[in-house]
Amino acid sequence: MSRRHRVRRVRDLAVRFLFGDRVGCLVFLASLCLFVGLWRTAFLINDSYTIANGLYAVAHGDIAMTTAEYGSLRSPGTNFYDGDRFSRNYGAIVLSLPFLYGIRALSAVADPRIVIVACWSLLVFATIVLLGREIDARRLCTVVGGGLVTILFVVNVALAQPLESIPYHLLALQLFHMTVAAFAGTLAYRLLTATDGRRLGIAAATVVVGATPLAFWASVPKRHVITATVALAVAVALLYSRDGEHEWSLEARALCYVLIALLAWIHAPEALVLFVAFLVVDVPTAPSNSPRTVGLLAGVFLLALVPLFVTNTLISGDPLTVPRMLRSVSSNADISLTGSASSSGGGGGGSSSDGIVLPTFLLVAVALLQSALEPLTKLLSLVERGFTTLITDPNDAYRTLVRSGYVSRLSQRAQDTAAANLSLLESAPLLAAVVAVVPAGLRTTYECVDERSLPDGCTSADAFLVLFAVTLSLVYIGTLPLHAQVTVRYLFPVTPAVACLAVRLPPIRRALDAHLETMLWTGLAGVLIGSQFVLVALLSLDVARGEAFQFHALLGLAVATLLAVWCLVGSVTDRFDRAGAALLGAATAVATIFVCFAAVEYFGLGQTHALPMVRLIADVLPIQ
Amino acid sequence: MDVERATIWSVVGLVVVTTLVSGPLVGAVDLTTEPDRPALGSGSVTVDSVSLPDRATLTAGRFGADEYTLEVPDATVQITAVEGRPILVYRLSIPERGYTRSTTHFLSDRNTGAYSLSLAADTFVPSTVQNESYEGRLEIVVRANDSSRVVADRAIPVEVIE
Repeated sequence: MSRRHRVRRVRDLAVRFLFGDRVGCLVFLASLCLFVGLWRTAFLINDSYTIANGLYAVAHGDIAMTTAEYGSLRSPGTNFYDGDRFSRNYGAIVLSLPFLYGIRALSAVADPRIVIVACWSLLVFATIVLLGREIDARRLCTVVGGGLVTILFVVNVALAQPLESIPYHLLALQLFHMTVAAFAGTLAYRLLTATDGRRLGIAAATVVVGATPLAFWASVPKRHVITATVALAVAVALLYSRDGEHEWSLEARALCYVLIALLAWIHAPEALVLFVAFLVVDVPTAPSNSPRTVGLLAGVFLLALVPLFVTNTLISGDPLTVPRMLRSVSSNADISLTGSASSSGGGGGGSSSDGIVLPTFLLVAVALLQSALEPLTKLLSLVERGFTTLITDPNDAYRTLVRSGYVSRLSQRAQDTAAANLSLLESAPLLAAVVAVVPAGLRTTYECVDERSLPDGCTSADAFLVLFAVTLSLVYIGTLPLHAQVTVRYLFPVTPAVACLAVRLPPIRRALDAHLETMLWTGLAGVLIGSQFVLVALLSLDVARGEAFQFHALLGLAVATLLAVWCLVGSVTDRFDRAGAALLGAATAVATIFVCFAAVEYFGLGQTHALPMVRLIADVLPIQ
Repeated sequence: MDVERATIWSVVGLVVVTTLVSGPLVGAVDLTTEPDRPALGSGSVTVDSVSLPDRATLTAGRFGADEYTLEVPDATVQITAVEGRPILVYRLSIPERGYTRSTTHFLSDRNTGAYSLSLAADTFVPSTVQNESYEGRLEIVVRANDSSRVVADRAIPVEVIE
């Protein structure tokens, strides 16, 4: 009896830690259902070869890549050091290992194709059953859901074809990234539930999963979804840590540092952006900065950085030189935080040419300090360049943020494929809601300046997310627009953060609080019915792929414009709140439709959809 | 409560048992078989008649997409017999631009009768499209057993549509 009791207690604690509550769990499961539905078991971007080969190497006990299991060992993102080739994002690689062993174990007893179908069916069933418990229709949901899932399972199994030469390492990486991405919705729910109540939490989860291209990037083994999720997780933990009543407020604060350290293991430059934004908010607003607290946090942070240091030492012998700072195979689009190849030699070396012989420990300390400060100065110069570009060449920023259209320089770099780049606003029309900041800002700026505090109802988590979004945008805006972005993926981590902030703006919060159901139903109907209208339009206009992208773009911009207008009107009167909620639902639907079309049709990647059912749909639809 | 529990366990049971039964450990049924196929590019095909389109188009993109899309209508071939897995290649070349594009079709014995050959669309950077039309050449090539022969060819105009 007591054992059973303990098991239940552990289970409840785990659910509370990971998901917050049952709705959080529901959001997580539903997100996974969507991601697996849009999953293609193939490479979208060729630098994913580097990561997959890296996972292959690490799974064989080697940190340097020697075998080109996928693509080639010269794919973008490969780093050279001392004659060896290294991958990057080692954090993601190591954390994908459990998934790799899991798939291997399962494929010993079952066909991987059928395993994917079975797992997805069970996920859908779990989602429906859990939903039934939340909306007080347990029996109905269980029975109807059971029937539906049985049909889905049988149909998929009947259509199943074997996976040709199973890319185990890619599957493991994709599963890891999808799992992380599925937490984004849950974290948005928790963030908004803590500040504005459950209804807003549900709205936030819906917009983060549906109104951003999250589902498109979830199954692409790249850092973007991870950075986005970690940013939201840090915001949630920050919020809990400021709540004096919370029993684990110090632990929550420490968790922020742990998360940022682990992100550094995956992608150090973006972790640095996050870290700077976090420190600027955390230190001034902390309940206590006593030496004991600071020492404890620093210790935890350094401890969490150990995997990063170990990886760096294994590669270059210098714990502070991340793989990205090494000489890479091509100066591809990604930013590197060391401008040239001036990496500071290696900490232990200590070559002093000035004739003054310093003690070794001092040299080591100086070298460490140098390599710690170097990224920081580089970050500042990137931010500065971002500012300059914004002012001197606003056209590029306009192309990136508002209207993509045709950019000749991009199409020449992306040879042989149709230009397929949407701007940030076109891919997530919900972002238009930020114009509501203007009236809200005007109203509160005076008070804030007067009181020297954050505006009323503005939490430290809000401040952190704003700072993070602005800094990350400035870091990348100087290099954008770039080819192979699809939805400005470099700025993707900003989108969920801004979506959460937008939901908290006064007119939107009021409209959603009163008319959440309107938004959810508009969104659902928009996806189910609107997608058919879009399909008919695309077919009757006989569009090429580049045109199809621009069609989605214009659709997104139309909704974004209406939403922006409503936000301004809604700041003055609450008479049109129901229309506003419907517009938010429409913005969600437009983004979801684009993501579904992109994943199923435009980027079918040789019809490699994980679900046989989706592959059939892709085969049947005659869109290029 | 009982109905619920029974439903949940029977659905989960069905899914898990099916998965295990079809797996390599039990191997009772194989749910993901594909028929065996002979090697690609071997065998032979007998083509009866061919109809090639009389023009191709280079259309400027709408909705601000701007770049030109090359579209070639499908060609239709009457296939009387297929043996093995021969390959049909549908090719457009525009000598003036030094451009060739081909799409490969793998045939099997199911493809006898009228078969339409498609050529995948391609895009052109706007600044490079200056003529009102280009001279193009369409070809249909059969490849089998390491040899290839041109079944049909035709000179066609590639018209630029703004």
